[in-house]
Amino acid sequence: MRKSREDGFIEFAGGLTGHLFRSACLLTSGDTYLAEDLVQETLGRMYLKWGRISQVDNPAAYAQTVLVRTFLTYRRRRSSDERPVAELPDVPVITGSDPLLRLALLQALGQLPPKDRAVVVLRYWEDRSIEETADAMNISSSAVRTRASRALARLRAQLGGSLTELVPAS
Amino acid sequence: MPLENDTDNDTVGTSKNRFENDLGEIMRRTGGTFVADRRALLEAGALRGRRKAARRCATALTAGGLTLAALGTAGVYVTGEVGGDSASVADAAPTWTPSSTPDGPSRNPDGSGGSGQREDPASFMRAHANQMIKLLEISLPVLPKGEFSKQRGTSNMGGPGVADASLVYDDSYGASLVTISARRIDPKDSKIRQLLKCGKTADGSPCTVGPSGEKTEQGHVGGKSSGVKVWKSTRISAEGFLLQAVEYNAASPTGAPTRNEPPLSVLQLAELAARVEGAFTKYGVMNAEAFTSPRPVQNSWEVFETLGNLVPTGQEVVGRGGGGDEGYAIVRDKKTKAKTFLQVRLGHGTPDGGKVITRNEAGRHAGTVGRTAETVTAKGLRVTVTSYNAEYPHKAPVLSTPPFTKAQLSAIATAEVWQSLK
Repeated sequence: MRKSREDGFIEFAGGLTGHLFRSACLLTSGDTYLAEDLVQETLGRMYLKWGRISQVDNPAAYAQTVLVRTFLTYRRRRSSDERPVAELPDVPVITGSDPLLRLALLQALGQLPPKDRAVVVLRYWEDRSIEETADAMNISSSAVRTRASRALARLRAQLGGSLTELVPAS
Repeated sequence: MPLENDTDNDTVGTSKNRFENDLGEIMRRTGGTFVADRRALLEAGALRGRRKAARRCATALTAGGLTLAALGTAGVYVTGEVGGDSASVADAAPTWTPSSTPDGPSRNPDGSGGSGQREDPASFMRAHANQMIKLLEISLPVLPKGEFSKQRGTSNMGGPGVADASLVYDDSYGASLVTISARRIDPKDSKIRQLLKCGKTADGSPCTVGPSGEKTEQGHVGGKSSGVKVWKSTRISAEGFLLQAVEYNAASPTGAPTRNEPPLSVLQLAELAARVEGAFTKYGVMNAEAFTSPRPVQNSWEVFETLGNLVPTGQEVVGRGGGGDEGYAIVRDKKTKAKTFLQVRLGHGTPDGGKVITRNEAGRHAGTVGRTAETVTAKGLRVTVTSYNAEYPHKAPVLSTPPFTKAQLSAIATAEVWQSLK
């Protein structure tokens, strides 16, 4: 990579790395080691194609797409190694305290299938539309609706139906 | 946007919108609690990109009919001057320098530093001054909390020579210069091996060779009369690195002594040199994990050394021990002279936003109790600190309650230094 192009990449990625890492933490339901790995892999892929990516309208959104696809690829590879457990670990009783709420959310996300989790992260963390989410995940819009609906139902059941009292008005 | 799209769905009601709103808010709050080491992630990501580019390049070359065998290199030596008080050994040692061929793409393991040269991975190294400084800073947390200043470093972006870093560490007992350095060498070279042998010193300063072959020297700059002590730990890695950690009891080699002895013990100095070794891959580039991942504590004394450094004013450490993920200190109250047991244990846990839990528990002797503070770091390391009212948990109590307050134990458990361990 030529120096000027590398400088451009470093400048772009430097401003995005923190947000990518936070997205990755949500995708991995709090596994920060895996999140770091995903971000590094995403940046590595971006680096390789930076000449073309720098020309697209929204490189940041492109990076998020690369991150989600990298995550899903990783989960596909891992799926044969995973051993589902019959009983899930205890879920903490949710109170108004933020740390417990974060823990409960991460645990609830962790119990969603990876694709459903990716839909939730793209829709409610990234604020992507259904069409944008479908495009990022390379699936149809109706599949996104189905997964979103199913994921929300599970999260509602897990988190207690209403989060109203957990989100004090700021 | 989620809500806009939900309006397309006739069955969606207000409560569902509210749930989704709240979910978005909670996700933003939760996501915001994760803090990345952005520089390390960026460096590691760019490194992966360069490696991918190098692999792609190598594939193209192979397809074009070229073989790696045709890219063989021959090494020649450039011999530096050995000796001098302030110069590091790594600075002066013979260097393994590859000859280069005039054209063709880079064969560096990270795909960079090309300039048409083909490097031998055994003699290549690439380390930026900022990386070396960061490495030095994160490798020093075994020291009590002090201030770092005057950081400087030397980059080596592929050529022969040294990469180094130095800083002045001040723990209020006197400012001290600490340096690290690394350079590629041929580990089988007999001249290089000589650097690990202790010779006679003019002032009879101690010199020892450790079990891993590392040499530690405790000498003076310009003779004993100067009062400036310089301690050096030198090691050679099997991958072909000459590594050195040096410390002074002064802020500069030519300055006046600021304390009796340099801040790191001889063992700690050797450990620092070992960490520099661990930061490099065999290809000569810096290992991203050296910056992004905590160091394992297995087979190290770091846990009890760290605990000893966190004991608050009013207590003094009169004994300590442990190993791996457990450590203890026997602390004596400066006023009452009562000796009690302070223990720390590290384990795995689920990050819970830095919450600290305190509890009391019975010791292994009637009347002996422990007071505990426990927390889990953002990286999932559970830190449990317990103070007993006895010299050991199985002995009779010497105080009615443990001497450490919950606040003091919480402060130890949440100390930032634990974040660098796993």
